[in-house]
Amino acid sequence: MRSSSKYVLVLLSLLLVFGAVSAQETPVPGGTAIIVLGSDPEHLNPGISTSYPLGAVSANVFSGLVRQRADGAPEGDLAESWTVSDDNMVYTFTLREANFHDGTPVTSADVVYSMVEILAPNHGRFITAFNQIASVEAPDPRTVVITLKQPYAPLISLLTAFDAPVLPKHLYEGTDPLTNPVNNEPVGSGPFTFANWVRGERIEIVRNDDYFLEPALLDRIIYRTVPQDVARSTALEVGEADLVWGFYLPPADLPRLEANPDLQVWRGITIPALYFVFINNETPGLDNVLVRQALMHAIDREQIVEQAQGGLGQAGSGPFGAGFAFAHSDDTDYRTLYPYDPDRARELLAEAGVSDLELRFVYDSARGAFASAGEIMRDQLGQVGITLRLEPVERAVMVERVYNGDYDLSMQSFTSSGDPAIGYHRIYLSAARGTPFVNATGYANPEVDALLTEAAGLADLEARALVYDQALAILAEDVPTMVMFDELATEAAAATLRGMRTLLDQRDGLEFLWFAQ
Amino acid sequence: MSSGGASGTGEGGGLATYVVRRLVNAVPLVLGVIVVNFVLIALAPGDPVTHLIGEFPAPADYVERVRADYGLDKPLLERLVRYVGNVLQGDLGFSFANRLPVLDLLLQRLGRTLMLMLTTVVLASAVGLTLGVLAARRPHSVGDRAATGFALAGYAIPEFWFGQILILVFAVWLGWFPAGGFRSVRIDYTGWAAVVDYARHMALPVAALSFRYLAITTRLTRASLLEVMNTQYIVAARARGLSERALLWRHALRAAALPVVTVIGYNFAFIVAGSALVETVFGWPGIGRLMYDSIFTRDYPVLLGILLLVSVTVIVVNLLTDVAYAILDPRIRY
Amino acid sequence: MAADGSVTPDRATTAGAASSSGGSATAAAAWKRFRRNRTGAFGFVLVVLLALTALLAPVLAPHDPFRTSRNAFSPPLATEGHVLGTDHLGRDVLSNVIWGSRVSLLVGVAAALTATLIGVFVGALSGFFGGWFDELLMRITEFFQIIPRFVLALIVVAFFGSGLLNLILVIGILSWPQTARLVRSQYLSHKTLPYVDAGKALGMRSARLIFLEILPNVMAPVLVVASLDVAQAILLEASLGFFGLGDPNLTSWGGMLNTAQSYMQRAWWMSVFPGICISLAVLGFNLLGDGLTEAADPRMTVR
Repeated sequence: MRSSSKYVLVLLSLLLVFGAVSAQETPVPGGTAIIVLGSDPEHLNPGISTSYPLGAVSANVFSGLVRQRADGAPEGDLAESWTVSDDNMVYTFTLREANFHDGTPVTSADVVYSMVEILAPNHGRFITAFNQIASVEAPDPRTVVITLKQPYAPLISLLTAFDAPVLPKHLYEGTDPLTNPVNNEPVGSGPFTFANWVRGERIEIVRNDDYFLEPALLDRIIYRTVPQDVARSTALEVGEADLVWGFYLPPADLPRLEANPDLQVWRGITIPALYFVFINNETPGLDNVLVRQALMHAIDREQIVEQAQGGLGQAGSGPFGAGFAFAHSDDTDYRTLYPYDPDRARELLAEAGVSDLELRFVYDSARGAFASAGEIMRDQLGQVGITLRLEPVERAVMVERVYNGDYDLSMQSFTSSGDPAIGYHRIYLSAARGTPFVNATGYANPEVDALLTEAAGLADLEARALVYDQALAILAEDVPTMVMFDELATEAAAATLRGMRTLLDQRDGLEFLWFAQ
Repeated sequence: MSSGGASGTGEGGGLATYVVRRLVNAVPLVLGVIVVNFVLIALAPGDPVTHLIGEFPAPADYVERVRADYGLDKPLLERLVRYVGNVLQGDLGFSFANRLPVLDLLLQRLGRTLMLMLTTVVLASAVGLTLGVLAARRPHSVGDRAATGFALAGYAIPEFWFGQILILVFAVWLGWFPAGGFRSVRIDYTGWAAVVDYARHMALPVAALSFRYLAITTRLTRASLLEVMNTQYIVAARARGLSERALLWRHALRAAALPVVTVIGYNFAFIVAGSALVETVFGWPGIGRLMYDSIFTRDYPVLLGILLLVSVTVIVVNLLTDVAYAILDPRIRY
Repeated sequence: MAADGSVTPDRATTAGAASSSGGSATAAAAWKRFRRNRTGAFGFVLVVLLALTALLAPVLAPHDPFRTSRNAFSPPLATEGHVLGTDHLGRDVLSNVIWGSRVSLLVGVAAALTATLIGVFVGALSGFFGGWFDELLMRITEFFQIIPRFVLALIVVAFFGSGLLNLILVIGILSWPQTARLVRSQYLSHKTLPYVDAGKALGMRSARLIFLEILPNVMAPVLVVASLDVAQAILLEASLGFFGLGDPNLTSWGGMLNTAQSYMQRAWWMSVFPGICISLAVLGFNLLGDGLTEAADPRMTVR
């Protein structure tokens, strides 16, 4: 009897503990969260531009066909399910029953209209998908059929609310999407409805109780514009903000925030992003592969990660970084191939017969990390006899200069969403000069082109890895571009906030946020 | 404009005529500013269209429309006339970075900047006057030297750096005031609580902005008072047995007020510059902050619009100062 | 014009009036007064220190200001060899402060020189000849005093680029009206004096009268304004640098404050030391100007 009553006691206490724990883990609805933005979006139409603050609001006001979980796996958003034909060319989506915030039902006509009339002409990233699409059709109000020109593995990851939001056809038809006033008072189908926008100060969205999936937990989200980066950390510390994404956090403040018991700080990789330096392969001196290799040895990428990026990076471990396992190989890891070695750099330069090189470093003046990296590079290249001249220019000018070859070195950062083919391939593919955000180095290697194109069409990751290995070997030898580091994401929030990073993009899935008591 | 006050003597008209005369005088100045804008656009390297639109990507048909409206392919004089005409009709261009017509954008932000500026002028003038008087009462005393030293510091210390220091000490270290921003975002205060909230957020920016102005006012009040105190007029009054206090407040101050008022008015332009820097440090969403952001995005129409707006503001303040001068100076009969 | 260039009852003008009246303004007496004047002397010392620092920067600076290291955010005195600490890239703050003095001094002096040259030229012609030329110049001067200098400088630099030469020209061109007005009033009072009449009677040409006869007598107040101009120019350059409009290939105090803005909580020394230097430099030239004013005529003493 005694042992069995002891057994019952243990069971009871276990139940109690379990009960208490699960009570704490049960999301509690209600409350307002304040999220910090560093600047105002220009407008709130995600179909015509892709800025970070714009996405932060629109991803929660609009829906895409699919959304991506934190591990990258896609699941249905507006689409209840989808099927893929055997030849990987035809995708058929079945839509849920859903309404826009003004009560109008969402139909396949909206999807087609958004893609063809609004996104294709205007959206920088959707265009890469659209170029692979032969047709988008709506055979009935609940079905969307996308037919590709050839197999394209990244298609699904480009159909999220960021890259292919579904906009209300009835509000945009017959108008110019660039100037339609609805852009400032968006009507979507997402978990939150737009409430209010005080320019330069705040944007408010409130819970959509008619959402077609589980309603959001919070009542309201206020996006607060805090232009001064240091003021964002302070806002967290004094309780005037609940969440600041890494994109807006000054890395220098992270240690202090981590030490604060009222806050929580997270680091990790979400969407791979790569920081690299274009080398203009047509500049005299830089056309020599030995010189480019010398550059790789001359620069301490670990220092750049630590000081220019506040430690939030992994010093470039290959031509495609380390964000995608199948696009990385230990044999071509830059940390072993090109360690920081100024002496070796000088040797290579002497071997190449190049001396007194003067290079112009062009970069977007708004990116503080690039400026710091440039100053470190100026010092370290100076140590091996290369003079670096810093030329910060505003973004539009930078785009024009770099993509027309008027530079020697230029620092950039690209994200690649859910697939390296989306963002990274274009760093190396040969392309006509002048197209923004495509290869600006002048590097043209037909072998690499063929390998990368092959990799983009393969759905099987193992097969892709084999193809990538061949490409990596060539690229690591030629070093047409200096890969600096993979970006580590970070995030700081009030200690009581829960439910972040449920979806792949930190800005997405705010309907899962809640406050623990 | 320093000749403006003294020339107020006139036979026939009243104060109204004087004001009208000053207004008329102001018109060529405003036109002049618009012309300066035009000259800058015309001289700047690159396509003038870029300087009318800014470097933010704009739709091609808008660019063509601007080319036509401003006659960019026409001779210089015609371009000037068109430009002035457009501006006078209220068309200051469109800000693509902010998706608003420039004029609307500026008016939106102006109120918040005025909050800072007006509070600064009132506070700095009041405190500066007081300090100047206290210093002048006992020349070379400890209090006087302190006030003078304080004024010297105010001239030399850059207000944006002072703002940074204020944040470090009062917001970060002591935590008495918010470190930036315009008002609390989490709680929507109303009524009296809202006023207090605004006041708390204004405290440090106003302190940073008023330091220099305060210095000027203190120094000038002191100098002006000292000069007046030694004039025969005062000596005579003192001989008549008037108390020191009555002397100071009733006679000397009134005489000294004249140059002080002119200084407060004519130095308003410095507050404008200061506010750009201070707003940037404190993240105050006004015109100054807009200037800083527009530099980054090279939003030229906004920058030119700001130049026009602040110039007009300075002209208006100068006009008001002229009027105040005319009222205060018993020697001027209008 | 008061120490920061603000418009006030013209102390410098009256100082100039004193000089033109002959009396107490012989050069020797003035120099003697200047040396005794404590504030002026203090200002002079500061200015000399600044000039020496700028000239001897390569010798004085313990490190290459561009040299980065892994030892970032080191507080003052925490690491040997880094008295004022290191910045976010591990660079020595003291070395950068020392080298930054070059830009401030160069821009300050060159801009003030530009302003003085233009101002003297315009003011002399305006005061001497009068007439429509004078009217026109006075209108232009009035105009330049209306436009807030900082905003205009910002736009010009944004349009035309932020190289050192541009900065000097912009600041210089925006500062000349004050000098011009002062010089003009000087010439107005001088041109009725006997020695000018004598010159005219002797058949001297106007150019000679303006530049060889009257100008030397007018230099005293011009120097005062010039030194105050330098103070102004240094502040303006620092403000532009704070807005990120400086030359990224040179170290400047304003630029240091711009960077320091992001690290204020973590490294107060990145903000404090450049700011102190700017304040001292401006103070030095202001006090120098004050000292020169008093040396010109002790009656104008504000003390």
